[in-house]
Amino acid sequence: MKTLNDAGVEALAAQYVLGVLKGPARKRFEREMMRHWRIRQEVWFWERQLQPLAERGPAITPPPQVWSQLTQRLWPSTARTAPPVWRHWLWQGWSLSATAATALLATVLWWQSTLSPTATIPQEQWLAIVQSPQAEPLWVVDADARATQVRLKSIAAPAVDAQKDFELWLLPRQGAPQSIGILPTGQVEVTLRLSAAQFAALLQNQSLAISIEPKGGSPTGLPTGPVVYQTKLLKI
Amino acid sequence: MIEEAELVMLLGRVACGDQNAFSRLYETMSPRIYGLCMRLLGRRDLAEDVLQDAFVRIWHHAGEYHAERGTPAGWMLTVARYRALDVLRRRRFELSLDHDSLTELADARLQAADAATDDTTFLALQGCLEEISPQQRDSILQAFYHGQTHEQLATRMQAPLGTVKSWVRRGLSSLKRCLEQ
Repeated sequence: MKTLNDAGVEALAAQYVLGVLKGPARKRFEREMMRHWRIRQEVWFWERQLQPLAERGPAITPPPQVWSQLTQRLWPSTARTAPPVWRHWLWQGWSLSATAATALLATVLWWQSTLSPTATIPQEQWLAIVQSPQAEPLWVVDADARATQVRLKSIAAPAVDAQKDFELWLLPRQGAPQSIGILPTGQVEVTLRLSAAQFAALLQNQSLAISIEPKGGSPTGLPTGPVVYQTKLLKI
Repeated sequence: MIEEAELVMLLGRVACGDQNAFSRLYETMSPRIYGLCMRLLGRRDLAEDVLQDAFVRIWHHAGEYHAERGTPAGWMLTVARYRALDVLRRRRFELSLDHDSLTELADARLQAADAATDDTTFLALQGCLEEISPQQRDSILQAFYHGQTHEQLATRMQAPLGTVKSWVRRGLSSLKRCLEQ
């Protein structure tokens, strides 16, 4: 398949997505797909174009045992024995929140120490910490109600591909997420001014999410990549 | 109807191992995925297995979703469809819908009507499907909806294998030219 020209790629990708490419040819094509971006893009083109056919199909509620079998398959230990698992979860939950509390306290102290002597702490200040699944703080988000601005500080932001950026979204109680801005990834701090309406929406639901987007932010104004973190603002 | 942005967010939370988000995703998407599996496989036991496999895959690979793969719902349906195709090809059984399945499918038609999705993509596809020959269109739609192979299409449409293969290939190629306009 080394000498596949564009027409060949087009034909095979279409037949692969449709499902008529089968047997060893299908397997071979899947291997080529892993190696070549161009082939994947052609496959994605067909997946996108044919999806409306699948999306308009019948909806049938599956029998309830499928869900229980699924959870047993994914999380066998938690699904089977309830009481010991509860204790385990409680313990884990406690230690996680303890870690989070320590991180929060440390950050508040750090944050206050960065304020200049003349700046009194604003009346309404909100703080959110974005944590890794291991409860390590990655970013701190500070929202100042009086100035309707948001400060984003990277603590230990994870690495992202050079072609990508982390984008911060506010999640209103209703409606689509709204972009707040691109998150810094070095040891830097960014201050962003929000409109009064945006700030109100932010305080109303206090929820934030971070997605991975193409460099410079989502081209559509809505999250297009996976949402990798979520956090809530706390009043301090 | 759950919003696309919410599904993207649920997928993101699932990618971080959030079981509650996964449960919500299942609640939202499982009827459509199960419906798709029933249509492709025509057998409840197989459709249930594929539904389960698809969600195991979604749990482990939610982070691989991106906009180039379509809408989040569309991507999840694609994941399930590929799995159903694997099962169809491996089992090599002929489609035989039992009575109950037929009733379920008939009931389900009503629900399909309000599953409003990405209208512009759908209208474009619909328009382009009108442009190609009826044989090309039928063979493509049969293959998509029922997972039929070239051989099964040839039997069903009572045409030589070579002819059917060229209907599919040329039909897809014309469809692409039209969709790219």
